[in-house]
Amino acid sequence: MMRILALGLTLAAPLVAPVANAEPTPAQTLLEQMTEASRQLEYQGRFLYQLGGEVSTMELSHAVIDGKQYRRLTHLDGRLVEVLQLGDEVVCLHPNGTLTRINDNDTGLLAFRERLSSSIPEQYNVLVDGDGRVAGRATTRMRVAPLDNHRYGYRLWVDRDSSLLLKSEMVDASGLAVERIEFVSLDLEPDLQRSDFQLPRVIAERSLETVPAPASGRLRMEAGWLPSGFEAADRDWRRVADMRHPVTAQSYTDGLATFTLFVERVQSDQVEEGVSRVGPTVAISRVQTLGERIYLMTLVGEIPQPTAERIMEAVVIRATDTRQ
Amino acid sequence: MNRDYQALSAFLDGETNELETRRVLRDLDQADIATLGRWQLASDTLRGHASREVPPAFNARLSAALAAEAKPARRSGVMGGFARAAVAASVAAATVIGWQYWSVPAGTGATPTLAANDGVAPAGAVPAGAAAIGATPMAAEQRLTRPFGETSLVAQSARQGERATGTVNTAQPRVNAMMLRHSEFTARHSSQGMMPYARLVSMDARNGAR
Repeated sequence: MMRILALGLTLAAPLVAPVANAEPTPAQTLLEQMTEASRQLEYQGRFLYQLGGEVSTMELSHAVIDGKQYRRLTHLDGRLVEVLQLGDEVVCLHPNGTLTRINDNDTGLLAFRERLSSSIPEQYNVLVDGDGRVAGRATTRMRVAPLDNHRYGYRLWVDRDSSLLLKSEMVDASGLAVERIEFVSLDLEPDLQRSDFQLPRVIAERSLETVPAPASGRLRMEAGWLPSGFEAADRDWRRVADMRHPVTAQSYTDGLATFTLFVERVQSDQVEEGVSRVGPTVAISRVQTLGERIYLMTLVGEIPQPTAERIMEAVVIRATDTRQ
Repeated sequence: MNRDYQALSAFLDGETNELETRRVLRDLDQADIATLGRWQLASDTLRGHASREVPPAFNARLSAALAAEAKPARRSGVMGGFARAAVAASVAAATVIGWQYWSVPAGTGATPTLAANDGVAPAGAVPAGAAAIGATPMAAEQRLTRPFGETSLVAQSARQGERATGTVNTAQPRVNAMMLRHSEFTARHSSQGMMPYARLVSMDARNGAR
């Protein structure tokens, strides 16, 4: 049995409204309200972001201008880092003053979201878990519990008045929070203007450019094993201009957890190989050879490490054009 | 000079948090490595694990990795510090406890438990005719899957060890671009809204501070 799941898990969730094929539970209704609030409301707030043992302070601004969503996420302590969403474009300002643009013009995106919202397998239990208080505001507490150990769970605190998500924790199987976001202040009438989302001055700019893959598909990777509920989503060839060979990427999601597989051809085996983890994010790199060619496969995702390793063990690389 | 034996012991047991792990790795010297090696050997013996000596080049690689860790990155990247710490930790961890797994013969039933509660999704069949390889070289029993706090852990294969692994190349732009692309994807598809970008901003900022 499939069911509805629309988890606007933080701050500004982009999901479409779920398809109602059954009487929604209180938890589902709350999640729908939260998703809608994060997309429609204008707000500005400061929050704590905790990853592992480190805490950052950030500011989030959100507005809908001319029907498009504008968001600005600013790192407040230490180096200035920002991410701006300007309609369909995402811009990341790095601490060294450079800027990367990502154009989100994926025409298949909407269809994919609709499919997700209507047919997510039963991999999570969602339930209302009591009351709480965050940033001086009354909240309703919720739990999103995975039904297997291939994904993390969540604890959510939703503002009773605005339905915005004020606090979110990603928790591992033992219940420990591996990542936490918690608002400390929230302004629901910030009167934001377009000028509040202007790009900062930068010293260099680059973009992740799409490289059209030839019809023959020079390089393909297939997951020999996936945890239940995970589906393949984006797949593309892209590269940072003038920097490297294209890297092919294949992303997977169960609607909440995600990971991305990257494969690139490397010139020698002088490459890093191993596993690393920060908070919920795991990265695994492995070298594979195909004939005389050497490929570096990397998995980046927010899934438990044993699951990531198991996925990597079953990844298959196929090259249909040996001239590459 | 480390000489904080309590921290070393916790590090060896995988009980240090991210900050403590970094501190231990930062302060690790040859004497500490030798100490950790002795402790691990004793632990292996008590637990009945087969052991063999650390590959001699590992300490040199560890030193090189830690030295590289101390230098400023070419570019402050999204996962720059993440990757650098991982590299250092990888080499360190392999130096400390990696060999015990390398020495486990295949087929001894020493496969680490990967996941108890599966829920396996059927994977698509692989069409015949194309040149294909499976990701087979890293047999589970040959891998090191022991976490070190929240920071890092190591996966070193026997194959990797045979071909002299320490040849790590922290090509930061590659990792940066991957993290950016993954964050973008996660923001669009995972229902997590801006959390992936908060994650990215946090990593980027902490790397920039190093």
